[in-house]
Amino acid sequence: MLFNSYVFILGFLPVVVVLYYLLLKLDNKIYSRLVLVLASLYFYSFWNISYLPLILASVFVNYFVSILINRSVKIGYKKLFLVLGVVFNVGLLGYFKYFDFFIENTNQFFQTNWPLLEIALPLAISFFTFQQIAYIVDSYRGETGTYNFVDYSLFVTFFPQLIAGPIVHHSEMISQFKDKKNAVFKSLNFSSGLFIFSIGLAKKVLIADTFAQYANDGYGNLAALSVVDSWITTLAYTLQLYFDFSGYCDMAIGLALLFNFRIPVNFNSPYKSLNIQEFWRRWHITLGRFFTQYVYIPLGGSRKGPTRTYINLFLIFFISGFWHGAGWTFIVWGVMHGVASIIYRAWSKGKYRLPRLVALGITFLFVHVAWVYFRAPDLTTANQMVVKMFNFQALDLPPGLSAVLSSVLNMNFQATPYFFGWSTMLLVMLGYILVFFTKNSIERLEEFKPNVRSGVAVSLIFVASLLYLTRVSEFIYFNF
Amino acid sequence: MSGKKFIMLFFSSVIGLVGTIALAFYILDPLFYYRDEGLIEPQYNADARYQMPGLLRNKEYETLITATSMGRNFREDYVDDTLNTESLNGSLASSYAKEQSMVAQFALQENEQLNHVIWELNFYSFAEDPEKVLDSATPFPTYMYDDSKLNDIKYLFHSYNVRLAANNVLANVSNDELRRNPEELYKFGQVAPEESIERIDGWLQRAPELQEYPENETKEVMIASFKENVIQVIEDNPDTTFTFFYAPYPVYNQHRYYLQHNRYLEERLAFKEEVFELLSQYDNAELYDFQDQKEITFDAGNYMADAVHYYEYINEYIINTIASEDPVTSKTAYDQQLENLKNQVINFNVDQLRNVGYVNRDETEEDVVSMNQ
Repeated sequence: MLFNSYVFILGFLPVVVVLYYLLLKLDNKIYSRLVLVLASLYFYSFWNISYLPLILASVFVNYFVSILINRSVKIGYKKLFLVLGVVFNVGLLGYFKYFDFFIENTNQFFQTNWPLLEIALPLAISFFTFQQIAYIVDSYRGETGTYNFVDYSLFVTFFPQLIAGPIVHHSEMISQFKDKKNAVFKSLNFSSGLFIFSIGLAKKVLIADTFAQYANDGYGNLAALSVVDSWITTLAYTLQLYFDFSGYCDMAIGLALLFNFRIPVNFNSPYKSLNIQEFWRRWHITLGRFFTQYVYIPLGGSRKGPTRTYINLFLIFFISGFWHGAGWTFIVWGVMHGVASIIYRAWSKGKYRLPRLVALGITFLFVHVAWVYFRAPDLTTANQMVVKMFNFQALDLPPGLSAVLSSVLNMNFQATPYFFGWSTMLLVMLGYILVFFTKNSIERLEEFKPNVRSGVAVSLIFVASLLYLTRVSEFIYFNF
Repeated sequence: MSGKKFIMLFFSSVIGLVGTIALAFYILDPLFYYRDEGLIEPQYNADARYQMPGLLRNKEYETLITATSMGRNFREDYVDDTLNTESLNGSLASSYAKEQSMVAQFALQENEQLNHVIWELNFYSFAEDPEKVLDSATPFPTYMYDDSKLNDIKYLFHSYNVRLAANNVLANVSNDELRRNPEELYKFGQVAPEESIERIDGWLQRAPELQEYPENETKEVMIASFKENVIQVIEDNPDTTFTFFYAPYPVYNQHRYYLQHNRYLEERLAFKEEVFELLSQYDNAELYDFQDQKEITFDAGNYMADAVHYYEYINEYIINTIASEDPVTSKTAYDQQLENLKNQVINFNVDQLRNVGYVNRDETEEDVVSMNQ
């Protein structure tokens, strides 16, 4: 079930909200949290019930492992259970997400013919696995309390953050679940939740899905693209990805607020970053937090000299790339960010600083080009797109503009038919005006005050988003 | 303002806005679903699956055609003159049996004058789950093909209406007269590339051999869909005549399937045999099968260069045959037809092909010439 679906917005969500607040009237608040766990499992199973046992097993095993770690007195046992827990989680992820990738590559490089599993990637496995690795590591560090099973299950499965994050930390969620102050209906939180959910829904449905059409058209017709078209395609994808992912996270934040819970911010205008380090402090913030706490620092962080720091930096981005998807394009994307981070770190040791605009331009350009590898179906397509983008010798103008300029300047400008029209270009420009020159949704949430103006505005964008939940793209039934 | 008041304002505004939008689209009726002419003169801009329910409900006709793209080029004027009737072509390109069935059932529900349904039988349409409808960028709007008023909200509150209403208003403002005539809608192939025997030869040579036969291409799957989507409609409408036909696919199309896996032919022939037996039980059903007609299927000139679609004069030929010749009447005769088809497909080679059908394509050639000018 997706947040941006009628069944979620008009069916699942109202029922769960009503049930939750009705059960809060009971003395024992655990029932209201239990209903959230059950609702979250239903939400998960709606996609494919055959993977329900998987998430249940993952929750049971990790909870059990954390108990074993907490109850072990000897450090050796604690370490053993931690290793077993991490192996279980990584094994689960490896089997379901990466097995076929390894087999495919083994078959290709060694001319073997091992059969593929060909199983669908279980939804959210990357997210709930990471959250639970963090949990058992913290158990080993003695940082987890005596959480009951319902609260632990809710921390892992809480539906607003289950599918696409943010990657929440047990310490920030379970304390909220237990806080009695949250166990009442708070109209201000509910209003804020409606506000940010509506903004997130609009970002996803009205903006991201619009740019997705251009990006898909462009990537699907690579050969027909001119230089300018290739930029429009990739710029549209850069917008799509940001509005899609941050919109989804806004919706998650809003949904949690409906229940009086606050989940962490995951995006903070990342394209306004002046360097790659800042970008990763603004983009998918909770993933960066996870890698810093559970990979970078345990590897030694920056405490073991510059060479080791560079290696550690590279490693977290390499792993991050692979975490995003089992494919070479994601690995290349991760490597690009790893190398860029190393270069920036070395550069930042010096005293020279670039002008803000130049720094912003370089950072954005790098992130933008790297997204080509993130989006393209394979390395060949990605390389072709990048070559096309920078093949300025082939920079031909649209026929209309070429004719006007040739006439006015008395020169001969080459013309080529463009895949995309002016309206697309204008929309892409509008998208970047939104990105660079307006407040982001979290800033707007912080300033939110319930009044008539905000109420009407939010209901307008909510209804517009509802209207565009279903779109029809003309079916070209016979296109010679 | 308190949080509670904000929440009340939010939900009341949402309900008010949704209601206003639905009412506006009910009045504008961009798909002409409730009335053929209202505030705006119709220009039929929508995808066929969305446009069809309004046409089925509001046009006058006694004969309905339901088919895939193989039936899309039946021109109503020609059908009317030849069969002495008033017809509506409800064919939907790449339609599944369920979609064709819903077209027929909706037409029968909405139009009491309807007494004849011409229905194309296509392996592609039946080789799926009986409930399968198109679920892509243009999903089949099931809610427009039933008698429930409640689910009309899915039509009245749909983003597609925004574009359609805007296009219609603009067309009326600018006196754009295109796409006003339903008969001209969704016709295709006027500027299709020429087929050539060389292309067919290469295409056949590139046919990939399937290691495993597709599970959905069995007689059992196709018959299950046929019973649910076709037989049921025949039984529910005993006063309506149902004329079924198998469209004359080019023999090289059938042969390519045979090259990919021999079982295609076996399963399809078994399907045809059982379909005939099932239809024989109903007085209001008749069957025509054009797939073994060598004079059509062995002439590459009759077909567009996609190895599937024929030109419009073949549609006319089909209608002429239905008008003037008897349907399949006996099991023995039909067994012979199926045996003919089997032999033609198995023993086919490209040297048997002719390429003379183009002489019938006067209209097409005129179009090509005018386009080139």
